[in-house]
Amino acid sequence: MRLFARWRRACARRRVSVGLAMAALVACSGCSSSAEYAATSSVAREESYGGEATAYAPAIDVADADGAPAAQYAQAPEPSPAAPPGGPSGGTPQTPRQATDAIDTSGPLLVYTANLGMSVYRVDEVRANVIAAIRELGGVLTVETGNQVTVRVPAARFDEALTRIQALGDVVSRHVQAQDVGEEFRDLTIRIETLEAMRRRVERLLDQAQNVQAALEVEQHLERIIMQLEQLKGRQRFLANQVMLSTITVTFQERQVEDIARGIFELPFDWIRQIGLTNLMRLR
Amino acid sequence: MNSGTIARLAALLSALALHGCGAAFSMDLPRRFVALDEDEQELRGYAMRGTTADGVVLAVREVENEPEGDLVFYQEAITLEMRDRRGYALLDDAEIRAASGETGRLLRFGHDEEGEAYRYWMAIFVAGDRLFLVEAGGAETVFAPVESDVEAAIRTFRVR
Repeated sequence: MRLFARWRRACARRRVSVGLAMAALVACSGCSSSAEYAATSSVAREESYGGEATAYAPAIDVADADGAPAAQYAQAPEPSPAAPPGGPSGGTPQTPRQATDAIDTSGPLLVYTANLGMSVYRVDEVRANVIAAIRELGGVLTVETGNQVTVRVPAARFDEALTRIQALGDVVSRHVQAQDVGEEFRDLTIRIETLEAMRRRVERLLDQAQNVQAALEVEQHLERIIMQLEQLKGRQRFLANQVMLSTITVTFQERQVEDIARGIFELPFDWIRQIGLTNLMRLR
Repeated sequence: MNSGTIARLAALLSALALHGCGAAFSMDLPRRFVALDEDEQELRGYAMRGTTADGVVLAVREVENEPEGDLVFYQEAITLEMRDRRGYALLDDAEIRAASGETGRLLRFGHDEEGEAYRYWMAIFVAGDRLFLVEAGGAETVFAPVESDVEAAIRTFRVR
């Protein structure tokens, strides 16, 4: 309705001729086709892109057992000024209003994630120390459960955060990944610019519409374009946030039976399954 | 039979009585520990088990070294089982020598049981076709005061 009011104001000014209005509607109709096509095309493209992202984005798997940080994630981007130390509420970290402006898009845009498996020993103490260490580094707590804690830390301090967390307990498993989302980010930028230009053109057509039906048609196209723009911008903000803040998840857990069957060979010694605190401490 | 021979025989009988005739090892229990009934423990897979009043337990398992493995093999196997599978934290892994001269490994683990921190030690000695596992464990609060005594007891381990 805001757009319609705008059209009514434009009509009141009567600055365009009927012929021009008709030409505009024809053009608008053409635009609408292309807008529809663009919308359909971009959605499909986004889906396939999203599907491809995990496949073709260079997921630099730097998992290693010794804990030596790999060079691939040593060149993390500069810390974001918008990564405030968070409260313990477990809310998601705040994103700057213009998160997409806070990152350098000229090079690879790497999203760093780490999953650490830690032994079950002094869990409460280790969990509290992990959270404290991350806050010292300007990170925030995002999830805390009995056996898991997930934190986010400015990307430039990811390496330091991992080192500090690993010193807090016995790390049984470690998986670190750096995923380049630069191509998707730049693609989004181009699509947003294209849609912005299209929006401006359609807005001009709305100004020129001479009757209610034509204005409503143009308005519908404009709404679709705006919706599409918001989706693309939302995705871009999400990627920017992922690039600026790395995610580290620490899990305190014995392996599940199915994991053992996949990952660890079981020795054929009955006694090895009888050792441990449970049997040792059972005296009766 | 002269007096010297009688004395040596008496000492041998005394030692056998003290350590158990069938046992292929001996180990002194630390102060504050009492030995639990051997027959009962044997049914549970322990060649010897003792406890303090407040719940620190020290035990020995004697198993056949079959298929034959060396110390490194058992050290790795037990570390995999306890750390990677059961989530025990490996706090330390050091060499330890038995009183009878065998070189073993002492693995020190930590583990939470229902939110409380526990210590669990495992000393491994390989002697030919026999494998000896000395286990010690207890809640951290009661284990810590006696851990030096427990380690000293493990060092008295002797393969016969």
